[in-house]
Amino acid sequence: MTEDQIHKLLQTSDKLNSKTVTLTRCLTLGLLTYFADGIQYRELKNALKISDGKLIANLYELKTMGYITKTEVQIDQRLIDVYSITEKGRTELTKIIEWIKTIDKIANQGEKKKCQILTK
Amino acid sequence: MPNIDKVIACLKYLEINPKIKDKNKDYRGRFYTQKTAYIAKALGINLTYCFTPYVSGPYSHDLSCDYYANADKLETHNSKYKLSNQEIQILDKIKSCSGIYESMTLMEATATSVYLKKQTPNLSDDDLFVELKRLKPHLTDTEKLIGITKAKMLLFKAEYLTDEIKKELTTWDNMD
Repeated sequence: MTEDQIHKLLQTSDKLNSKTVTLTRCLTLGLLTYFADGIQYRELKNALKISDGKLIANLYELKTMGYITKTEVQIDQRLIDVYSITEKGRTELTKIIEWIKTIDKIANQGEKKKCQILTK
Repeated sequence: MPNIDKVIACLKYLEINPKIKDKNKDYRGRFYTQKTAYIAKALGINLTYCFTPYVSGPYSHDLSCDYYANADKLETHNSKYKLSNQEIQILDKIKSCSGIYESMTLMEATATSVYLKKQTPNLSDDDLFVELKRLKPHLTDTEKLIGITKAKMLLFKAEYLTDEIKKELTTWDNMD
């Protein structure tokens, strides 16, 4: 790992919101980016396979940070919460992806070097 | 002709008017756009969108990108695409499938069942029910059963009616 790469990794991680980099929150943002029309609460629960308490707490945090919005939609006779990603949320997810790409680059470079040593 | 023009022509024929511009409004309209496009594709209308059955499925991310990029065209039903007779027949079949445009959950159950049947044509009704339950646990058993029946109606082809079946049906019809 070069000094530049370490510097870049640390610099980009500074720009991230550490509250977002959890599995549930990253997955939620990822799903909401793909399903651009929004996802019903019950669909999110089924997809993430987590308890109501954990999901509600995570959605509340993401909403408070301005990364997602919640709207009530009437589906047949029921009022269902539908969550959508905001522009701010999309930007944050892009930052996370870029950061992971940096880690990937560094890790893969390490692998290549290992291969070179082993094949020598 | 772009895919989205074909979708707009289908929506116009089925009299579905989704509001696209405001993302926080008209979830229902966008929901019906997605599901209608999928059923139309499954029944033979040539659309190249890929659909996933998971989470909010059947759902196409590419289709959503297209309708957000062509919101004006979609809201005004502005399409130069002319539907063929075969495509009109397919849309009439969808139109005649009662209840799916009145109940979103029924549409969800029907569209997902159509997807599962298309993916695995030999899937038995019991296995279809189990798979539907896994994908859409929030649907009630009644909604799932009606959805499966509707999907089978949609996927039924005239050529399935062999002389033998016709004869049997006539016998049943003539019974007192």
